[in-house]
Amino acid sequence: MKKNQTIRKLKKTSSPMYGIICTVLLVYSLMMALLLAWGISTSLKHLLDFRTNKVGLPNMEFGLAWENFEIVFEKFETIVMSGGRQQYVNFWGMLNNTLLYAGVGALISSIVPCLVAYVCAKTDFKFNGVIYGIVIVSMVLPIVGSAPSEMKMLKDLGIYNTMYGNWIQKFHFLGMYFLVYYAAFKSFPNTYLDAAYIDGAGEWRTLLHVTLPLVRNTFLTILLIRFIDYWNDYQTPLLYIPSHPTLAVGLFNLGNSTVGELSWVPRKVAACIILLLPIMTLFITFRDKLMGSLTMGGIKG
Amino acid sequence: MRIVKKIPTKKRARRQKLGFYLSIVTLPILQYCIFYIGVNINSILMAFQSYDAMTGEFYFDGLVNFKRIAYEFGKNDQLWNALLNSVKYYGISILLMIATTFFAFYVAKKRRFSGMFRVVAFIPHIVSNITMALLFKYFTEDAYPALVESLTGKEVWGLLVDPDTVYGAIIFFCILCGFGTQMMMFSNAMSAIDNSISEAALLDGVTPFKEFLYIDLPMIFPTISTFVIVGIAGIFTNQMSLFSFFGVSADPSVWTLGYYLYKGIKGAAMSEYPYLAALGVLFTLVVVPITFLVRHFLNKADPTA
Amino acid sequence: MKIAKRIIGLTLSVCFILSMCTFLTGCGTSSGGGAIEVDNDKTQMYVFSYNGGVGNEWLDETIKAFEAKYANTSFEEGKMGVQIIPDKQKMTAVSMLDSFPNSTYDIIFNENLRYNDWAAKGNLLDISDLVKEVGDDGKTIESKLSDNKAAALTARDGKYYALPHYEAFRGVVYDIDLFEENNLYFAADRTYSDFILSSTEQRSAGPDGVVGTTDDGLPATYEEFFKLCDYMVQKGITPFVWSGEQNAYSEFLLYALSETMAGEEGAKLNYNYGVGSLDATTNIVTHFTNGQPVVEAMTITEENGYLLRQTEAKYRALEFLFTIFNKSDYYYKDSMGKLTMSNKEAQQTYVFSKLENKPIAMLIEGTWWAKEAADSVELSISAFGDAAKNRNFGWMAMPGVYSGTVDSSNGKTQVLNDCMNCYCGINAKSTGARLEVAKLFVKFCYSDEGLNIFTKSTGMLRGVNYELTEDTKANLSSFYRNLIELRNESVIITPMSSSVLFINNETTLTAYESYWNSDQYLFPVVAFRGGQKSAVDYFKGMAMTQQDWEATYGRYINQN
Repeated sequence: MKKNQTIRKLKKTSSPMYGIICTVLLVYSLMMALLLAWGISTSLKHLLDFRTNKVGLPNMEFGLAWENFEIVFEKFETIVMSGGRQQYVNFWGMLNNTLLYAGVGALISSIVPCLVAYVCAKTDFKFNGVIYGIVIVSMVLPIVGSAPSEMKMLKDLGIYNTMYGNWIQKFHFLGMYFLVYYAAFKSFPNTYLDAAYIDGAGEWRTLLHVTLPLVRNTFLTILLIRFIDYWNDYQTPLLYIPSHPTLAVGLFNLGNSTVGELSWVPRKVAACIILLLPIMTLFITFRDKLMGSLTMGGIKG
Repeated sequence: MRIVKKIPTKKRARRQKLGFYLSIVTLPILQYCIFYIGVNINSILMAFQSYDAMTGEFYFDGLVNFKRIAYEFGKNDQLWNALLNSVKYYGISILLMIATTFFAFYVAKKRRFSGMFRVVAFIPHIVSNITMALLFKYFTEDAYPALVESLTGKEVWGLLVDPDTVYGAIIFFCILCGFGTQMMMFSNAMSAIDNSISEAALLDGVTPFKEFLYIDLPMIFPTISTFVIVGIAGIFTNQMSLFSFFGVSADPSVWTLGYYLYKGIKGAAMSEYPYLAALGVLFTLVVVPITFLVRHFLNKADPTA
Repeated sequence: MKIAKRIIGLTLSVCFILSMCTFLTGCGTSSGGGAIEVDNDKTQMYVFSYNGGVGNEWLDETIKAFEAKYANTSFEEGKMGVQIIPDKQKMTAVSMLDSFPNSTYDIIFNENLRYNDWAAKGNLLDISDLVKEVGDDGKTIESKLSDNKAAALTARDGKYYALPHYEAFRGVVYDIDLFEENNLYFAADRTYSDFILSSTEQRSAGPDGVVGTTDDGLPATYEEFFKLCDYMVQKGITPFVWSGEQNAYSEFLLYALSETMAGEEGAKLNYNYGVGSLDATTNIVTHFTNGQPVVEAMTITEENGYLLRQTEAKYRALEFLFTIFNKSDYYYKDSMGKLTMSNKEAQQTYVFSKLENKPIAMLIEGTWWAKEAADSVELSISAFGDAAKNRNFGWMAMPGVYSGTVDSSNGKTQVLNDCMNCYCGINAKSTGARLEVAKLFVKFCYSDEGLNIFTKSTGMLRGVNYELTEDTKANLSSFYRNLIELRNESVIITPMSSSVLFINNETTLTAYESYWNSDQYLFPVVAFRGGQKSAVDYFKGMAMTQQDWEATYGRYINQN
């Protein structure tokens, strides 16, 4: 008891090192907070206000310019070539693409490694070694610049610039999450499965009702991380599905746009804030889960 | 009355298992064969090909793409500069990583405000790079000059347009966004270290700095070495958010190899694919041995091994 | 955990269902332009019009007049009158090159339409008969085309495949009110001052060396231009503002300067490479001595076309730009010092500057700026009331001579390059009654009535010559009135020619006006920013070797 008290006391002891670190981290936090606060403040500025007031809070003489957000919802659009015609994809169209790209994509790239890891961990086929080896080799071998070849391959297969083509691209088991699932499946005893088999459950039923519930936490965390990654990604859709712009792609285009009502900085910043909100909501809801998940194991050969 | 299903024979069960196994692995393996093996083999083949715009077909053309790479590297400083920028950034990120471990230690030890720091540090990880980049761009170009002018009365240029500050501003942005993620990873790794070790050290009167240096730092060595190893490939792929800031028109003085490649692919016609594929093959040939070498040394140096 | 799981599950399910629904129904995309119900009692004809800077109100008004005119004419059995269905989109001509023939459109009005590429593809109908026919106004369309334009359009094979849509030039806008209030004009008599001391004092002859023209009092030489800039700075006026976000904007000044200095034939050499040229001789910089260019008059042919990247006019223009960019008093800070200084912001800054007592004299822009800046003008009126109304802007005449005195013997006529490749053409696959209506519609658009409807609505000119009615003139803004006056005193060239070399390489030879690219930089502004490169270094980097020229274009040389 006394020992614990001493430890607690020692843990609270301050040191100059802690002081310096705390100061630096406070400065860092302040910068991040200022950047976001400036963004929110700018998004609410009237165009006339922003002309002369680039830094301060919105001038109440002009009022809060909520219309910036209205205009973004109304006018935010990306022009794409589709079916030999130019089409405008509006905010809702881009949101739809984002959900298809991030939602379905995250689901695919969370399920596939999960299933493959499951059969690798829980069956004794010799091919398992090959699969495991493939994962390790692909992680260890840094291949650079295969995108042109991948583009050509997609074009040859006739699935370039299609959403399902992108889903097929994501239908792989490579990467760290395979190892995470593999470790999780290896860690629980086979007795659960045996019991299910004895009760007459088939392989699929065992998978769905016994195995998956056991890794649901890991699965949901990976799903969430993938969803956020894909939601934020604009370079992949820009390259592989140019006719299906996501909101992030739209924002990239908007950043370079110089015509129309959205060419003014407060409105561009308002678009940034709109894209930020759903992710911040997810983050606030699942903060602990997301933050705890951020680890990286060493790759040992 | 309870119906008891007939337990399948061993052979039948094995067959059923195989069917189940194949139904799960077949498609992913096929995908792997096409999109990993196929793509990479094709990448190598493309490196030795040219594109005929009239027929729309690729044909073998010897070393023409590699000769062009040699020509491009020899003709002007752009590619060398991009290589230098990439290596410089790698060096800076390694230095920063070492510094970050200090901060991670602080957070892992749950010192004052560490909960808040964790949340703040996580924000750039979940916020889209393009959102952060645009906010940063408008801040540095619109707000920063106005701020400086109001404080000092001096007129300054935006940080991303001034040739003297643009590289520094981009590095700063990368640090601003990357620092938090790294810190979180290190602090999570440090949190996983058995408490009793740290407590024993505390009772022995070890200072926080020594605790960090002799316990936490060695224990998270695998995480650090992973960053170092992954970073090597990053030399050839990292874009330093240049595309987010400038689209395809970044000033050549700030190019990185990753940016050069992505910009090339984004704007390229089919005829440019072989050249870009050759660049990819060349970069891979350089990066693989270096990666393995560094891994070898780091594994040897690993105090947790 | 269970709650979290449910929330995620529910969210994803909703996402998925919503996505699939919208995916399948195709919601979220539109083709632009409101859908128009087809009137089966009339003959339909479809018009594609690029929804760009010129807007499309002119098209609606033209359609209204045209439909009224032919309301009682039957083009198909059982039908009376016509219905023109417009499609106002932002699809560029470049992206329509392949899809246009099989589209529903009978007529196209678009920017950046590469005339030769479109004609070569067989996309456009030969409309020579239409162009040569006498219209309701008693004139042929051909008679309204300038010699330069007629020659350019028929250079390919003697046939007309399209007509000029709207006319646009790149250069400099100036604030006439500011110039008048501050006496920023050069005086005819320089005894007391280079500049006029009162608005009634006689002004210098300007760049053309002729008294009584639009450019009177404006700087006639490069030296005078800098003198004017210094004078402005002295008076607390910033000479220039431009868009720093789009590097191409600062180049507009280069075109305006170099084309006027090179003169009509010299500027046309950039497109005809001496083929059909009346004077293919131009000054080429051979080397530099003490930082000054040494020039030699050379005759340009397709064989030595690479020399056009080293003309004296281009060097002087670059030097001019370098001087402007390297004197911070000469430009509005954000043009150089802000990555996000868009064309809209440059326009707004310019419009507001005088009202906010931080006057800026000139804006580097295109002639389409006034329409684009309409929202900024409105905003300025909402902030400054009457002071912001009825302002006078003009199109700046550029000096064509480097130094010395300019009079009628050496004054330079302005060379304005109608550079946007804006055309109107008929789909080669259009047939029957639709084709008949399409031809009539084009004829109507280029009749005096149609041309006046266009100008009255847009304030801009079509790329043909026509008389403006008093009503149209009254509707023009002072800027366009000034521009039209200057235009009528200038030579207008078109980036086209009959050179086989040019016709086959139009895209690469004029893409981003490749001759302004240096070895490492696509845009001079990037190289000049912070004095990274001098004008001489940049200019030397623009040079192309004979070997590279032949390797790239050899097979097209001397094929005329």
